[in-house]
Amino acid sequence: MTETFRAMLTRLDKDGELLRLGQDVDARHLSALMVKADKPVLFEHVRGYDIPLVGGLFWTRKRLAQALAWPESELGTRFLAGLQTRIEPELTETAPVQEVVRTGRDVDLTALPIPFLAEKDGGPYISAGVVLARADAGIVNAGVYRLMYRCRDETGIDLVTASDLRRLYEAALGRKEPLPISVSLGAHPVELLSAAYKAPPGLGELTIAGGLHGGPVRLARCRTIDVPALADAEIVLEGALLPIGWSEDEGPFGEFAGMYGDLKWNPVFKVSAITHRRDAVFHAIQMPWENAWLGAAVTEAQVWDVLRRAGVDVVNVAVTEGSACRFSVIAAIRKRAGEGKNALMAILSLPDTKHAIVVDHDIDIFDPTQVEWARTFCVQADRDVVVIEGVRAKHIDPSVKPWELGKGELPVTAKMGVDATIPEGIPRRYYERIKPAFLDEVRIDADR
Amino acid sequence: MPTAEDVAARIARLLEDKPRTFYEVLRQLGDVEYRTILQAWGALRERKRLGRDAEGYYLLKG
Repeated sequence: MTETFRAMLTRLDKDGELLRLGQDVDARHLSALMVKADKPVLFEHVRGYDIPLVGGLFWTRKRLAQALAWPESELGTRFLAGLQTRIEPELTETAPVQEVVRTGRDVDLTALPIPFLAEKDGGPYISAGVVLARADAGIVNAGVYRLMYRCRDETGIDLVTASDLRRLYEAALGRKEPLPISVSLGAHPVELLSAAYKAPPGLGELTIAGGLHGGPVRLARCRTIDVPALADAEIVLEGALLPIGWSEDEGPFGEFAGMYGDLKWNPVFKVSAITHRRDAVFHAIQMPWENAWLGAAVTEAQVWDVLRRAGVDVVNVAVTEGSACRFSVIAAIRKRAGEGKNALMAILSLPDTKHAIVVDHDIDIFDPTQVEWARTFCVQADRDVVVIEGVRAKHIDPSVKPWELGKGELPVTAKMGVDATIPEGIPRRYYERIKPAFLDEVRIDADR
Repeated sequence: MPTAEDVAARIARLLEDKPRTFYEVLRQLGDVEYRTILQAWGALRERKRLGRDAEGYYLLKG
């Protein structure tokens, strides 16, 4: 039996890693309280609501690792190993997430404690929903998309950035049809990681999640649309993206990069049903760090994978925190001639990676001093810095000037790679690090 | 306790006064339950009364 979100919460609680707040909490203070807490928080009583809220589960690398029950240093390699096993999702007839079903006039998003996260956000946001939609060849596509509260039965959805869901919506729009989707809240972090992963064509993200879980993800038939939902989630919203194009205001939104993305023009999600567990818990992902760390595992896995496919002997990979755990990558390799730049080309081919630095295998990539040493003394800027213009970008990067783009237009960027490996033709002995004499033969306490 | 309609009228007056962010509206309605504010906001949205200016601030339409 795969671990569910509910079982994960129970495990964290048992291990003392969940802060239970029993007092009445004003919903407008949820975001600030999540950030101030030193553990994930379960708000048992949100004033005016019957549904509690949990957040902060993935705020640090350590918390994400605890939620996954993986070692902290193995987020990328565990995810990558899990990609090799594929287990298809299974339909189930009994779903805890359908213990309560509300349709039609009973649909009321204000019954959910949707938090207001950051000061300049355009409204309260649902930030932890796994969106499912039917894709080609019977595959169910999964992704995580933010949803801005609009009214009782509507949210906005951000479909400006290139994505599978955007592609599916464009096809439906071309037919002047709505696109049915389900949104599952209370997904296990394995499912969130998988949904955030850019799976190759023909492979469903939930199949990857099954491989990571070691067992199938359970799906339930929705009550009002022909799209499944996660059977073991806490809450599901069923509905459709209306065929109105990128026409309704959505945002601004405090993004995973720690800055605000501008007001955008986006489609609308019309909710036709809300189903949930009888004792459902609303899951909120707090920006920026929860989203950033979810991206870290996926990015590190992608870098490991792309370097191995390029035939590079990769020793270690890390995203940098300052790049929102995604846009900047350091990789250590056991280099053969030319492989510094081969590695850079491989890493920069990934959609989100904007900057990359490649170092030799004996550099500790988690030590910024060592990385800077390599960058300073192994690099000639006219030879070892690669710049590639006109490459796919993300709107949240202010340096691509997203405000100058037309509605629905995609941005481009310039990527940079730095080959900080010892250059070809320079003997390694010139980089030998000094070592104090007799270092291995004495101990400081022996001389007291 | 103010109803959602009462609060919708207050929000409308706030936005008529000047364009505001959602946060600024929340701060002006510190005496109102959060859920009631969302219900009121939703009512204005359904009546297509919520617009945006060039900077993304909310303003009242119609």
